[in-house]
Amino acid sequence: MVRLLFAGGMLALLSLPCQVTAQTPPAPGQQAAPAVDPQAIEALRGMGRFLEQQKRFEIRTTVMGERVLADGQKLQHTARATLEVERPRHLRILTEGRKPRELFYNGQLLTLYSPQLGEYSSVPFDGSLEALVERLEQYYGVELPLADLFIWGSPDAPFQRISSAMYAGQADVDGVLCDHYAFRQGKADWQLWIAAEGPPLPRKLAITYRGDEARPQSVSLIDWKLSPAFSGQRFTFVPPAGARQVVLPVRAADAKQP
Amino acid sequence: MSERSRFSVLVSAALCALPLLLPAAPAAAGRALQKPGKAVHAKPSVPKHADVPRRPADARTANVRSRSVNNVNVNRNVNVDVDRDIDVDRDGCCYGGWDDDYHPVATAVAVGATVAVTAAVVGSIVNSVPANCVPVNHGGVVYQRCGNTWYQPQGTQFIVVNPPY
Repeated sequence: MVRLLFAGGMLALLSLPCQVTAQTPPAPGQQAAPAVDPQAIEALRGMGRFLEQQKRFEIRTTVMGERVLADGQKLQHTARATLEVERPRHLRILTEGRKPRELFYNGQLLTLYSPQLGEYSSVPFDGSLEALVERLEQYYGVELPLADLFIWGSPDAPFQRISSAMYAGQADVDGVLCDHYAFRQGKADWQLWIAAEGPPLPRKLAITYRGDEARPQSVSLIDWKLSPAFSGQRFTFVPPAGARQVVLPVRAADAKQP
Repeated sequence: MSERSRFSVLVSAALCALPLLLPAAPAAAGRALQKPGKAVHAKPSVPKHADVPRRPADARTANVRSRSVNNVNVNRNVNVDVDRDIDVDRDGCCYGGWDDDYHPVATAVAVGATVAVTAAVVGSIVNSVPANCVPVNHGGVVYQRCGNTWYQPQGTQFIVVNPPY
């Protein structure tokens, strides 16, 4: 009965002239907002465009992540990373989790180096940074810290995968006033805090993984330096004395060695 | 390391640092102090905290069913023990995130090596390790590194773990 009345009400609303509908304030609960708020997507696009325009920048990030053990118990861990970026084809990354790791990309050669093992592996590569993110993932199963930042600004950013997007108000992140957005995409619920004043820089990213009932969450805090003072030479890997070259294992299922 | 040798290391470190510090203007020294992150630009020091004795982690910590998801568009959440749907957007990949133990270099094969070793499943337990294993002492644990696979001793057996480096 209630459903019938509701349906009838909807029909009545629909049959009204447009002008009247527009002037009628929406009754609470009657007009649900669209699942994907276009303004939230536009904020994401705008941020991506801005990042794409930045030719040189440095990012420092700290992630607090969770892994889930077989019985559902969660363990938390912390890791740090520094990314030095010079578009279009220079990248250097130092990650410091349990062990330090380094990545060098000078536009011709891509090197992964483990200072702890004293071993490195180099492969020729000359693609864009977005292509680098893809290549590392597909060929070597390697994920870059904050790889999303290189995706969101690219023309083929997968915004169509976002099934829900909303604006969640303003919040302070490390003293910076930010606009808080919440998205749902596949099995990831994710939240992004973009600086509300000045350049639209992402300051915090939180991802909740819904594929596991324990719902592990990672929270990345992001610090920016838009005018870094690094030199172009630091993107070329020079093997330290005694370092050993090894061959990267390529994921068998995907592709041949380039 | 004895107290005496530790002291002499400290003294020599201070002496070495002295000539470097002296020519620096006070402003520059202050700036360096305010930016501890500058150390990133130096080559990372090989074994950090190498002298700190470590206990091996409980074997249960190697039994991970979901890893941390740190990127929305690039995800390779892995499940080594149960076959379940794991991907966010793409096909689930095989390794950990950037914050995890996994490093492809640690599973790499040395240039010129001819033996291809298939990696064993992390978490599986064996009574003995293959003949080509190399013992690697790290953090007080003597691992057996066999090509792509790392074994950690557990009682009289061995458990396959992620590369500890």
